[in-house]
Amino acid sequence: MKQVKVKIMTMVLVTILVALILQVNVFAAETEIQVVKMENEDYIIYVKDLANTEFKFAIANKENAEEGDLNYIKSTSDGEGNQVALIEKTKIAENENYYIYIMEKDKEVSKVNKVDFSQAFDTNKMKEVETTTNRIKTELLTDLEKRNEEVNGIKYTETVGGLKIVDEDTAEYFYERTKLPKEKYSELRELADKLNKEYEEKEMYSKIEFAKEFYTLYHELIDQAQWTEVENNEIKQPIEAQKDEQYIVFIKKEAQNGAITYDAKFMTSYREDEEEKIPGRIETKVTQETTKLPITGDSIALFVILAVVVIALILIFVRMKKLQDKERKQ
Amino acid sequence: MKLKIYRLLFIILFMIVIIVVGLIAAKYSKNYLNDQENKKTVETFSRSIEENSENITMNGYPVIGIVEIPKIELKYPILGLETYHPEETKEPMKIAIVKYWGGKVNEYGNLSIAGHNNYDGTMFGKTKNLAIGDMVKLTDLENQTILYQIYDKFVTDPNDVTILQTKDESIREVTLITCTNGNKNRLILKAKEMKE
Repeated sequence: MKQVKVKIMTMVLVTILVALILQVNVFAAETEIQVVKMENEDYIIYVKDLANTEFKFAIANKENAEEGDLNYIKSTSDGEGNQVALIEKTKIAENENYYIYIMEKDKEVSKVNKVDFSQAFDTNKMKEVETTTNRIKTELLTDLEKRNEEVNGIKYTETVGGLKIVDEDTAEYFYERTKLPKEKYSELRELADKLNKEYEEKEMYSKIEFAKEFYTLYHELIDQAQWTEVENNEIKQPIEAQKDEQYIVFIKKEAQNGAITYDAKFMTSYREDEEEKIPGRIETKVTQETTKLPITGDSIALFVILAVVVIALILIFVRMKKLQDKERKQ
Repeated sequence: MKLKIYRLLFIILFMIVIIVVGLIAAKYSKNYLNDQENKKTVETFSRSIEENSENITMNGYPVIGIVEIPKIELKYPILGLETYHPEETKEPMKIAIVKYWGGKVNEYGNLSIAGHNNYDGTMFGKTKNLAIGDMVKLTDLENQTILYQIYDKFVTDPNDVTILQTKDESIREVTLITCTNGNKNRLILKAKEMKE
């Protein structure tokens, strides 16, 4: 009996010791983060839902680092009022896995997330997204081209629209024009609308998330574009285009210094058709003279004959009746 | 003797009545069959211009367009003639509406078309029920349909050929001609292109 008690006590003690030694940290579920690489190659990490809250963070290259090995430092402001984790480039080695541990203010439980610094979204890409549609200067014209055709003395005029490039004269331009709707291109169009209407209102975390989505799709389509050289700085709408059709036009600018710029424009087609008779140009034929209008009446002759015959029939019938009566009396 | 003569006369006149009624029935049956033929020609014409196939004819006359007047449920092919003599238009006018004067259908200027004023309402038999403001549609060989609106309606004598003239070359106009007043006069309806 005593031996059993001793065994149980020993086992409990060992368990406590092991627990103390191992100091297993239980972390809360992952949180969502966006990693941005600055121009100076330092990194800042935006944590979802913590933009307005001070927090502490630690970087380690283990997923289950011991609490004692984590060196927490405070978050800092990104200059626009958002709390971020700032990590200097010297603290990061390439090709290594890292984990960020986040401790929210007044909470002891940390959140951990894997961080892939090689996939960081750099600020130049964000700027590219934010300036899309304004990177290459163009004008949308409704009367870019007028086409005339004369048929049988009638002049037909088509007025169609298009894009006029009003950027550097010395650069070369190429374009790809795609009619909507088309898979992925339509998606890009929707993202561009959101960029225009909703982007500025988003908080930073969401902006980065959105910009990544836009940039990825945008460059996927640009990379597979079939480029056509722009002539006379004009990008005309297709000949068959009707009014109010939607197009995406990708433009590539190759400057003299070798710099390449891409941009996207969202174009609505325009078309107006007019007809004008050209006096004196209708083929005149030699006309014969006519002195009368055509005869277009329905003849009533048969009805007249029918009426006359029916009347005669009635008269004869009456006369016959009288004669029959007279003979009977006789 | 007299009675016998009257009886003979009665029988003869009765037979004449039967013959005349038969002729009237034949005439209007022919009108009905002709109308059916016209409906088929209109369908064939519509199909042929959509398919860009060869121009069609009707009883040897080229079909150059379709005239439609929704108010009186009229829809007929227009036969192209090269003649302007009233006598020579008699035969084709038994078949359909004919172009009497002017250029091609829907060309600028005045196009005059003529049709019989049939008592059974076929051809232009119901045009007397039209009024100013009513619509006329013309479809041409290029499958273009233009809407015209009636702006004048009057009666004139058969020698008044001034109604055939083009007074304004910059507009499209159509003149409908049919008889009235027992063939003594002509009922004229003038319509011009309705611009949007």
